[in-house]
Amino acid sequence: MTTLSVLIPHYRDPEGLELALDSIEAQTWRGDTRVIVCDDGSEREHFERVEELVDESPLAIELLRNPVNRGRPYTRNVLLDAAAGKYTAWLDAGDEWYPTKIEKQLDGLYRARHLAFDRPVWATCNFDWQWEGSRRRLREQNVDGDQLNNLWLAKLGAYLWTTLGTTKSFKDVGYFDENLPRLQDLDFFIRFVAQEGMLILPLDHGPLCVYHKSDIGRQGGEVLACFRYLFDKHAPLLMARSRRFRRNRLHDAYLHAARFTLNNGEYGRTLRFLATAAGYSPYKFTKKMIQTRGRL
Amino acid sequence: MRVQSEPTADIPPVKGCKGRVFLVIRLLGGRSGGAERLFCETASMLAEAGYDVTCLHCDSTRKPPFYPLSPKVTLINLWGKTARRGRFYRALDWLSKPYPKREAFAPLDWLSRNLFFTRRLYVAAKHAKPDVIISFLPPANTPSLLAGRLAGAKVVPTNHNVPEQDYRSPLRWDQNPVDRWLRLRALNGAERIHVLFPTFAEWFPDALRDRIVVVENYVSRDFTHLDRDTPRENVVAAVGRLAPVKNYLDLIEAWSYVAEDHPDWQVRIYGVGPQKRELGKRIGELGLRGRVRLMGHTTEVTDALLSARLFCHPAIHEGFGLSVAEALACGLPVVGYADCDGVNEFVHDEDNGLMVSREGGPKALADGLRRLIEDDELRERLAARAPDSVARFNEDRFLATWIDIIEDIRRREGAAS
Repeated sequence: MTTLSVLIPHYRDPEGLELALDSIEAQTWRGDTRVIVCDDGSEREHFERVEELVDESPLAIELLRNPVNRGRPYTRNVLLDAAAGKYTAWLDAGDEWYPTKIEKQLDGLYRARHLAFDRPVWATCNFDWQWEGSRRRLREQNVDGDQLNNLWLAKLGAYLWTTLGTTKSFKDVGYFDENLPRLQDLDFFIRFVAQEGMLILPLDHGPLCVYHKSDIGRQGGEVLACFRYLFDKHAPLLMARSRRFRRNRLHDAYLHAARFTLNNGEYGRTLRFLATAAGYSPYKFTKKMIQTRGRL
Repeated sequence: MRVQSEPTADIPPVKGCKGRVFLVIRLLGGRSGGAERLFCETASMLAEAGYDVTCLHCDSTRKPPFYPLSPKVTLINLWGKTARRGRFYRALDWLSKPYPKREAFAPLDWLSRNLFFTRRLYVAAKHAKPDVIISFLPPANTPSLLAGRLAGAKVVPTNHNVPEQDYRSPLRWDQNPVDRWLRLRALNGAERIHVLFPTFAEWFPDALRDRIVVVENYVSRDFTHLDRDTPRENVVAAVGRLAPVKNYLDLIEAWSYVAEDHPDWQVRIYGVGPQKRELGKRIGELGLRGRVRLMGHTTEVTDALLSARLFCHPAIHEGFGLSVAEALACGLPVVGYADCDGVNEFVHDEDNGLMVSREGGPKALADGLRRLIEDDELRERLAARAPDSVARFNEDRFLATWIDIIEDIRRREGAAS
């Protein structure tokens, strides 16, 4: 039986997929691995290129395809259904693992088991964050203290491609919420932690993967709508937090959305989102603007 | 290298989340009662069946649930220490102090006890929009119904006892007149009302009858595939909490009439509870030490039942009488009182047990026990019939009924919207 399933959703990005597959191939951990790629209804020319990549790759790859574009949460659900190994890791087309990622994370999981944590555990990792055209910067994950708070505060980045866990632990969280075209990872992480799940870091605190980031094409309005949906969905959990905590999170969400709209040239919306963010937390807003000199 | 070629038409169908269900109970942390067990098991079953299940409770303590929950269940304690100690609630607590000396303060007392929980449930239901809220026990039923009504959520309150006991008893639950009035009144806002047996539905007013759904509890799978041909001892078993409602004093007194004629038989009572000392004293007074034994708590109920020949349950009333159903599943004929609701639903006289008249008291109970001890043929005939008589109380049927209820509510909601 396969030991590790690597799940990759793909849509219109064969070059990104090639990058991801190369990084899996370069892993120092050489256990039995099966990669499952699910194409989310890309156009014929893209899919043909994906087929070529799969056929050329030395990795064992299972290729699935949605007949039409169904969105990332649906595609991830297809992948989750198809995952069969003892362990599951995720990767997005366009992102890369560093060669020692799986080895170090598995070591972290074994240590967690040795410490007899009787809760489901996912190993996450610190990662490099690379904006288009700029150098890589280390992003550190904070797994100390209340992990639910850390997720809301973005001190713990809810990125699936940083995680490794048992397949059962991923399936136990349930399906990705198809109402969330964005932030479905955050919802998935929140549900995991709310179900007594725990995230750990491997002993090596260096970066184990890289996120190639761009705001182009990310719609601020859509992100904001998803955040508000998440806020409502997890209202019972958020009730345990203070009113100020909740208002600050809404401030962060509007500021986040303003960054997307600004980078996509929607200046009117940017102003509106900034004004709303300032309304939720004038103090936090002013502090942020002074610290960053007006940069979002 | 492609390892498995999937034709486009054969993409595995994604099941998706079936629906969102909230299960609500007032207190859960560390509590080992039957309702708490059913709460945890129902939550786990629904989660394993594909529902997104969130369990809500409001405990000021941080103890985890006594019974295990599936890892697929989200458990949230709505209690907020800081929020509950805010000025408003402290003022409410202070204003409600004159109750119960001054009856006029009853509404304030009710608010002091229930407003926080109700408000939190309302916020949770309003924002998270569950398809169904299932509440357990009266302290959670009324707040859930009020919160559900305000938030537009569908609520199914569950009743785990004889309705008369839950809604009218001067001994059970909060005796605040506001609570007693609201307990029944709030049912008008229920989407469905759960009861344990069809006959329990008859107690409710006509206006509520059409909303009543019957979900009979179940006997655990541990009791379904048993080797019942194990060697048996001459033992009358009784299993339950040592509390006045179980009426074990009658069993002890009944045994004083039987013990002398049948020195090779004994009674073993399994369980713990507040009446332990009183029962021990009574055993001593009647000179039955060694003949009636208080066995305490046991985790091996199956073994205890499989090694006995008879089961006696003299309770005053029961909701479901799980220990009786388990005894029948183990092939034990039951002796009990004919007017014991919740037990007389599935123990029938001369079929799988002997149901004696309560007017006859311990003497009638003793006659029943004596008959089954002396008449081997009768005992074996009733024992042979016992397992089949509770075969319908199984987990699959229980879960299927709940899923039917939830899906029916979702269908109607979908049609309405």
